[in-house]
Amino acid sequence: MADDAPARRPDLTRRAFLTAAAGASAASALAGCAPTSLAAPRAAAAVDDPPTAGAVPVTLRVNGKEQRIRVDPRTTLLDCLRETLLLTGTKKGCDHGQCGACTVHVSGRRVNSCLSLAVMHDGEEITTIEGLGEGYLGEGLGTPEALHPMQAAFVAFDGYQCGYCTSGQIMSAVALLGEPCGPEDADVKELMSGNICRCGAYPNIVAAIQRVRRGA
Amino acid sequence: MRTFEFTRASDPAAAVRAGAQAKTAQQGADVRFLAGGTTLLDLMKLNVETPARLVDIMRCSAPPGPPLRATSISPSPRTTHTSTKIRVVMRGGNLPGRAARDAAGSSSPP
Repeated sequence: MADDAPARRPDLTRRAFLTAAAGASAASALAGCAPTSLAAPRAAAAVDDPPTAGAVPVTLRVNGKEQRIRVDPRTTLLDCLRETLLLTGTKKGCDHGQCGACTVHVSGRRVNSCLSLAVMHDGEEITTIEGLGEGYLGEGLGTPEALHPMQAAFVAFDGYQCGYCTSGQIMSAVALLGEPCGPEDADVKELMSGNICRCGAYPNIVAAIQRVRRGA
Repeated sequence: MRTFEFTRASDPAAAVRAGAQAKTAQQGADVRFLAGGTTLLDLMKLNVETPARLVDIMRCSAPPGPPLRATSISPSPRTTHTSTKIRVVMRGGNLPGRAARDAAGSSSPP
C-alpha cells in the first residue's frame, strides 16, 4: 500500500484482504502454473464442474440454502464447511473431537463436525454459527444487530476471551435449550462438558446460558 | 487418511451383506461400519484404522431407540447419547453414571 496510514474502507474486511493477498502471493510464486485458479476464490464447486478423481456429489442444506457440491469422501463436514463452502465461523480446534470448537447442528442435533464426513449428511439440514439469529441473510452473513438470544447473552456476559471456541460453545448452548437439562449450573456444565475453553471463560458461559434458559 | 469407498446401507440386511465382505471382523478389517463416526474417524485420521470400505448405517430402517428395562439400557450401535438420555428422563428413569451423581449433588461444588 502506498499510504503509510492504511485507509479504513467499510467494504474491505480483514478476511477478504487476507484471502486476496494470499491468492496473489501464491499466484506470483507459481506463475505459469494455472495462476487463475489459484487467484480465484474457491467458491463452492458446482456439480456441472468436471469431476475430480474420487469426488462424490453431495447435497447439503446449509443454513437454509441448498448446496450441491462434490467432495472427496474423506472430507470431514468441518473441512467441507470451511474450505468448500467458505463458512469459516465454525472453527477447527483439535480435529479429533475433543474440544468442541467445530460444533454445528445436523438436523437440529449438535455434532462435532470434525468427526463427521460430509458424505454422511447428504440431504440433511446443517446449521452453523452463521445461520443463527434473525439477521441471517441467506448469504453466509448474519448481522450484529439481530443476534440469536444466545449470541447476545454471550456478548452481555463476556462468555469468551479469545473467541476461538465461542462459535462451538454457542452452537452447543443453543442445542442444549432443546435437551433435557436440570435447572442448576452443574446441569449446564455437564451438558456443556464437550466444549473446552482454554481461556477459562466457563463461569461467564454458564451465566449466559442460564440467563437465556430463564428467559430474562 | 487413506481413501475408501463410501456406501450407505438402507436396511440391516444390506449392512450385514457388506460386512460379510470383510476379511475379519476384528483388527485389520477392510470394511467398517459408520454409526456417527466419533470412535472411527479419529482413528482413521491417525491411520490406526485404514478401511477400504465404509458402510454408513445411520439410515438403516431398524428402530432407533434403546429398549429400556428397569435397571439397564441396551442401546443399539446407532443410538445416540442424547436420544437415550431423553428417553430415560421422559420415562421418569434415572440416569446412570456421572449425570446421576451430578443431579444428586448439584448444590455442592464439582
